[in-house]
Amino acid sequence: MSMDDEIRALRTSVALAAGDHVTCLRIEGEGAYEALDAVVACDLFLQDGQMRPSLLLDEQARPFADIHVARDDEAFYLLAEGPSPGELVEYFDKHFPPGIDAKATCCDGALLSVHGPYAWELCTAVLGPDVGSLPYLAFYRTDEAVCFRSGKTGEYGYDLLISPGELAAVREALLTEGRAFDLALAGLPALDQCALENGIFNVRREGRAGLSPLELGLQWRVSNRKEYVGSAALRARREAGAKARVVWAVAGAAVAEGDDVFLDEQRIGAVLATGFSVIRGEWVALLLLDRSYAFPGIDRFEASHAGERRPLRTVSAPLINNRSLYVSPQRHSYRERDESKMPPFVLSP
Amino acid sequence: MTPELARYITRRERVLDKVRRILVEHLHVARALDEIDPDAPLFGTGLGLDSVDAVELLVSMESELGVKLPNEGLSRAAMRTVNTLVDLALAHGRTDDVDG
Repeated sequence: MSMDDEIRALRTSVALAAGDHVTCLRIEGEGAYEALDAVVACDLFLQDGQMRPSLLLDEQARPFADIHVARDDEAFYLLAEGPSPGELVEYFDKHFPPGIDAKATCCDGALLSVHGPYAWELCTAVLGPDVGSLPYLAFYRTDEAVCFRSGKTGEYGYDLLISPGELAAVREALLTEGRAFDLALAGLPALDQCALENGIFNVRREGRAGLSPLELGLQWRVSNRKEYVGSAALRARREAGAKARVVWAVAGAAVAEGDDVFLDEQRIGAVLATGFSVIRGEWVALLLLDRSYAFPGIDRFEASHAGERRPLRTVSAPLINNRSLYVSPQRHSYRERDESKMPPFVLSP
Repeated sequence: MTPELARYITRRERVLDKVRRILVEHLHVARALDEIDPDAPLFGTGLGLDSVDAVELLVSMESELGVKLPNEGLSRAAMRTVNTLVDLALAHGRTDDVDG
């Protein structure tokens, strides 16, 4: 199956992916809250069973890891992308405040993820009816898995933490039940392309460009009322003022990471990430532009690619009108879907 | 920069500022105006709005920017981020005379 087919399945039905790129840690012990609160960039006002997206920053306020933190009574789960498990544990060992007896350890188990407008229905079939009513950014334990509802594709998304003894059986059940949903197996490149199309941060791509949450448009993921790793540097950057900001664009011809972006003969930025969108039928790109030009709705910019200028049109993210916006676990099912009643994937600008 | 592009950017910045003010003053988002990223999600843990806030947001968008949503489908797509609200106001609102 091609990546385009993986993406079409993810956007219209269900896709199953391995979670090898995500590390699941558990933070527990006396003072786990205090230890984690001193490190993660978001406020930890979470009730039992709730989760929240945030960041781990380095001392220069650059993203170190893209995280979801979830409260489990007095302990926490942390789903992290970016660094290796060893690097994450080392980060916590280094930055947890002294005198607190909390530890970060890798969870015993493997992660599978299920994405798509009908992901909830497949998960319900395999893991039980309560999964279908799980709110966004919450988690729930079934007999077979810890089911985190988050997702980074713009569609319904579930990360399943499965114990080693249950992994083969759960995977087989998802594949078997998934036939009725035209389930596809999706790889990380397909997930990353969907994230790009939906304007969702990717720590393995733009997250390695040396930018802070100011330029990346991620201030909503960080607290403005507490200290944490990188907070002093972020405050200093904020006071100095960000000179550039990310903005999304579409192009009719290929553009590539590193291409310079011009307004007439003035260089105003560069392409940070790009990929062909089989859903939109054109290239989508993430640009880093001088702040005075970083706005959607402009069709005057050009990327310099392979010796020629290629027109860009900046747009607001998300770039996809996701079907998951219009599919309700209370009213719909994959079997009785009516494609003719679905709105278009791309709305007029 | 052409005068036309400069006018568009100025108008967009003013509407963005107005939407940010609506979020802070009417929806009580606890952020400074410049901390509200243009691409911040409105709901969930983005800016933390909920379904009750959505009604207030629609009322404020209409009273402050003259935005009337043409249909339900458009409203879902328009109410995803700060920038999609700005797009909505520029396309369907009364924004020629918006002050910064």
